[in-house]
Amino acid sequence: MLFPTFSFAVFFFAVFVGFWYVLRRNIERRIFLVAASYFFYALWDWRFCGLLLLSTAANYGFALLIGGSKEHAWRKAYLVLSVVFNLLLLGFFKYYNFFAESANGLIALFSGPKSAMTGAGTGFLFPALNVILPVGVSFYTFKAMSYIFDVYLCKMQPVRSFLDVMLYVSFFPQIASGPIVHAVDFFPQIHPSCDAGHEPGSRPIEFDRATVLFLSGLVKKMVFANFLSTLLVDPVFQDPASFNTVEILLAAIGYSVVIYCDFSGYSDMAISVALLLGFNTPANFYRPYASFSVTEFWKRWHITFSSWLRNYLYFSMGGSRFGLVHTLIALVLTMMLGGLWHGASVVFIVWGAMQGIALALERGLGYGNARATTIPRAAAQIAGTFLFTTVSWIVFRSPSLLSIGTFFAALGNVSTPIRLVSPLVLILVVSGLLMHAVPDSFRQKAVLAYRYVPLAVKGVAVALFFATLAAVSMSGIAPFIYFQF
Amino acid sequence: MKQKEDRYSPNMVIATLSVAILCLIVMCGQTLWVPASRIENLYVRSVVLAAADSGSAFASWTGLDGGFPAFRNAFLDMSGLSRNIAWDTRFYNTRQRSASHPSDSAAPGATEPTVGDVVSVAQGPSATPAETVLPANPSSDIASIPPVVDLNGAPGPDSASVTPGTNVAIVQRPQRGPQRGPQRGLSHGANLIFSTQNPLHVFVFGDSQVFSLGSGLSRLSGKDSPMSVDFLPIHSSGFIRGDYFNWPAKLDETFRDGSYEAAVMMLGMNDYQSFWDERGRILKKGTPEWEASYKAKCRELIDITLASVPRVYWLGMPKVKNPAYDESLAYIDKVQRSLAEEYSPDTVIRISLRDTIPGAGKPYADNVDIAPGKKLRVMSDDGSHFTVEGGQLAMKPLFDRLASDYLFSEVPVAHLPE
Repeated sequence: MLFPTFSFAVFFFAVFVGFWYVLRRNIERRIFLVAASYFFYALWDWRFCGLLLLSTAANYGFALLIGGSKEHAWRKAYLVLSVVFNLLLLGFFKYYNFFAESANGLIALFSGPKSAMTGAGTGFLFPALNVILPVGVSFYTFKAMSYIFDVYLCKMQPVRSFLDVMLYVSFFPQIASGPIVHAVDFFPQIHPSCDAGHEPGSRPIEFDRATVLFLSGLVKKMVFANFLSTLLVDPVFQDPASFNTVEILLAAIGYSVVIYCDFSGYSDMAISVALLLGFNTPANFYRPYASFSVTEFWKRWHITFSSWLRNYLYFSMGGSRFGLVHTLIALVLTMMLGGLWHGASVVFIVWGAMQGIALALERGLGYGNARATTIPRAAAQIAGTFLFTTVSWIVFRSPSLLSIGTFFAALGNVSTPIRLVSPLVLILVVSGLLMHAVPDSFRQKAVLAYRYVPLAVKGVAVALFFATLAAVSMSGIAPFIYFQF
Repeated sequence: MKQKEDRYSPNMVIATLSVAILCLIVMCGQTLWVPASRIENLYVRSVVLAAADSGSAFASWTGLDGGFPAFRNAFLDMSGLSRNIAWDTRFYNTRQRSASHPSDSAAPGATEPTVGDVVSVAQGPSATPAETVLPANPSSDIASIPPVVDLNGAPGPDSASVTPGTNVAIVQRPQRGPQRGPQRGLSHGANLIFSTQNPLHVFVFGDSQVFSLGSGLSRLSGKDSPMSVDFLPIHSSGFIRGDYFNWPAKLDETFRDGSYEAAVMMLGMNDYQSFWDERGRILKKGTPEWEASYKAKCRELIDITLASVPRVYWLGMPKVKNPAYDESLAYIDKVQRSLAEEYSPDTVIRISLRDTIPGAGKPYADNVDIAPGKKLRVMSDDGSHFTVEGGQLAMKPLFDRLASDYLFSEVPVAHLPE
């Protein structure tokens, strides 16, 4: 069930009414939210609800064990056990076939291709299994690990209520594709949100912010991401050799717009839905293509994920405490693992390595901590960072290393006729980039002005928005890119 | 000045959303059924569709509901998207999957069409049709069979009879061949000889009826048949409302590579409605202007199809349970028939479904007798769509007509439902 669908509207209306009107007690609301979240998840595949429950129960237990141990050695042992459990869970469902193929390749290398294919003489080959990737497994596993880490790092006490842990791991606005809200940010909100709205005249819902976020998310997804994917990016990436240099370049930039609009659009909608239930979610994107360095880019792109990597992985590797060389290695390793998180593919590791090397270079050269003071130099910094990011997205989007080469080779197709470039495509690419240039002060003023609009007028405005969106958007909805991770 | 707070009570949120929904109903009344039609659960869908119908009626009464569809058409034309097939059919499968048809459950293999693309149903043992072998020459040797096509165009019976109690369908020796004359595209496929190895490729397209009719024809022709059937059902589509599904563009794309020799069209179930023409005028259903504009839309599709295949088999409107709906379908049928008469009868071949199920002049029936004491459920619960078995039976005249219109090295065998 995707956010921009009629089914979700019906589902959420039922949840909204149940949460705010039907159920008044804290415990009832928590049970209701957990039930709604499991129902939401079961609509994808009910069989994986068991996996979700298993992950929740195991991490609940590990957190209690860590919190209840006074000796550091035991705490660490439980932490290692929990990490192994979570990685095994994630590894089996997400990476088994990748590792099995890679391992079989190695076996073939050492024992000869013939024997590897037949199995003769090798003794063992990993069987290929048709493992289905459960929706959101990477996201909720990382959330669960965040809970374990936060308890281990003494940022919070272990939570005694299993129901609260269930709610944290399965909370439906965040389960399918994040944001990966850290435990320390989520748990303190549960009880205040479930207690809200009892006093006469209370106003617990940040409706204006929620509306603006949901509508902007819809525009990003339904207009920018859907249109550009369909009209330009997907055809070009499928067969780059058939397209002209201009189309190749525009598709590369277009994909930068698509992936931003798709994922940040989803995040905006997820934050908005959570807000309507009284839960605050940290921002996941902050004008990433206005970054002047790769270091800054990772403070603005998929913020909940990058902060997870920083807080729990990079810092665990020692961070910057053990000298420059150690820091640089930790940076590259962190980003390579971050790349692998996106999927079992060599291209994701290469993409992660590119990010890690770029971060390490900036760190080594002392670049990327401050924006240039003159406008031309700042513009050059931003353009350079965007160029690097776009090249790395080409790697990210390509199905294999070979196709990366094919894509770049197609840049020489100057004589191929141009077919896909239209005024609409150009407008979408340019506006997709220009939305990063809108200053914060303007956004804040616009939101402030919106607050003063009478509610009835807001209702009409929302209706006009949806009618216009229905008039210009496609009949269907493309799957969200980050659902596959 | 004190900054206004961004916090509201649930009552305020509900009130604002109510205003928004009311305005949306008024502005988009004509398209309210589209999201409702995507609901999977039949019962919930019926309730929501009924509510959507009331909303549509209210919107129609206000007269404000045509603006946004017109805006959409203008946007599609201005941006060049109206002829861009990648734009709208690409993700159509998302809707297609969820927009299940009442007879879906009865149509294994036909329920999951992919990517707005063509469905080809492989006939397996599950279909278990009564294989009906004809008293024809079993040899596949071309030279040994009598001529199956009368190139002089002598009209012949394109009929088959079902022997009661035996489920044996007898396809008459084909006596009818393609007409000579000013028909377009007749060269492609018309004079080829088809066999199991080189089957006649038939493309069935249209609205939700094609789920059962396409599956039915596919089952009727059976496995290892000299007829290969692909079908594309687009739920709730029609000749009008190209903003909902762009059939001209889809057919252009489908027929471009010349991979079909016959096309079967089934559209019109959703067409009895007023619509806006290109100049922004509302054409009221049933008026001469509406008929003229409707015929132009039908003609466009027929011409696109005839540019690539020698014959279009145009299925008429079925007999449905609801009398008012049946009346409107009868009207659509009449308009379509009058247009079909403008074409050569061997180029655009009109096939009546009403004459087969329930039979000419007979009232609506959910079941038909296929043998003494044996009934076959032919219509689904909604009283307007065929079941797959019903589709199988309803497509029999078409099957026979195909068998007589094209050359086959082996006589096609009809597999009727048991």
